[in-house]
Amino acid sequence: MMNGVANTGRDHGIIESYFVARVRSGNEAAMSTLIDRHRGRLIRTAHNLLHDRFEAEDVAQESFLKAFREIGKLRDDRAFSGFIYRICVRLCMDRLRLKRAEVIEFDTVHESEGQSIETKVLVFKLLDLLSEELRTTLILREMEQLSYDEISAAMDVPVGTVRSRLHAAREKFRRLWIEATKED
Amino acid sequence: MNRKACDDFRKLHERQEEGPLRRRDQQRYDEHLNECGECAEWLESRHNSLFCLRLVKSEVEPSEGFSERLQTKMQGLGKQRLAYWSPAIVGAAVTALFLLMLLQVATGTAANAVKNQGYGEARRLKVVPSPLFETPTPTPTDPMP
Ligand SMILES: [Zn+2]
Repeated sequence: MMNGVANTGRDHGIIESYFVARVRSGNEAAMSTLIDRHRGRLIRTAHNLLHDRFEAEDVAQESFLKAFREIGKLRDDRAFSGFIYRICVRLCMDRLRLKRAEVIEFDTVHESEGQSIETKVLVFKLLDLLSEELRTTLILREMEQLSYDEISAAMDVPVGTVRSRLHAAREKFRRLWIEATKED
Repeated sequence: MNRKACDDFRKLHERQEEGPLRRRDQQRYDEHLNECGECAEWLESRHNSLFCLRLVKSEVEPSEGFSERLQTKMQGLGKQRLAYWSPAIVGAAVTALFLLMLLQVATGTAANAVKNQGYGEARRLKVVPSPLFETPTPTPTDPMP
């Protein structure tokens, strides 16, 4: 870490603002550094939301391009992490809205990724039965482990809405899960 | 099963998701869980379903060439583009435009004042034209001999 300081939340912000300031002046090396720092998380978030790793990479790339183009909108350079994360979540939500009419294919589910294919396919199918808002809120909380405030910022809705959506999403998912596992 | 007590328990559970309960609420929660089989079952299915969800959390890593592909898309997004959209540049352009409009209004007002001198309001106020906008005064013609 810079100056041998441990990477606490505050230091993370300082490092972030250092690279963001260089990106503002058009420094491409600083852009590469920010890509390296954030790409893994963005791809995993998009993968959780979209269930397709190739589409997830596509969205992550789009997020970087949008973030660099709109860097002027970022008021606090230390907040780049949240800024690009919000862009990524919103791009995923846009894609989910477009996908509603399509048949979801789980062609990218691989056993090598850790869990059994059956569990993954089941969870993805159940999640797909939730509305786009409920599904996104549930994933951001349960998979991404975001706080209510962070979900509120990422989805651009009040915390009260996050609370009620989570309540509805957890209960609906629980019922679907009971139904699905009863058949086994 | 007491419906009201069960609803209360489930609401407390939702609140617990956001942070620890107060001691009295926690006590009420524990007591109900201990005596209501239906809520114990509800809690178990809730835990299991959410655990299942966390189990399939993505662990993918960026594929090889991710950054290179992105770099290609980013070509041309360097200095020029960022500078073009920088708020300082946009601010300066707006200010310049405003000043230009202000100057135009000022010159228009002065020119009108000169043009109208000698008539009505301008005459009463004795408007003195600025030398910058001075118009040639017509030479009085000699009176007829
Ligand atoms: Zn009960």
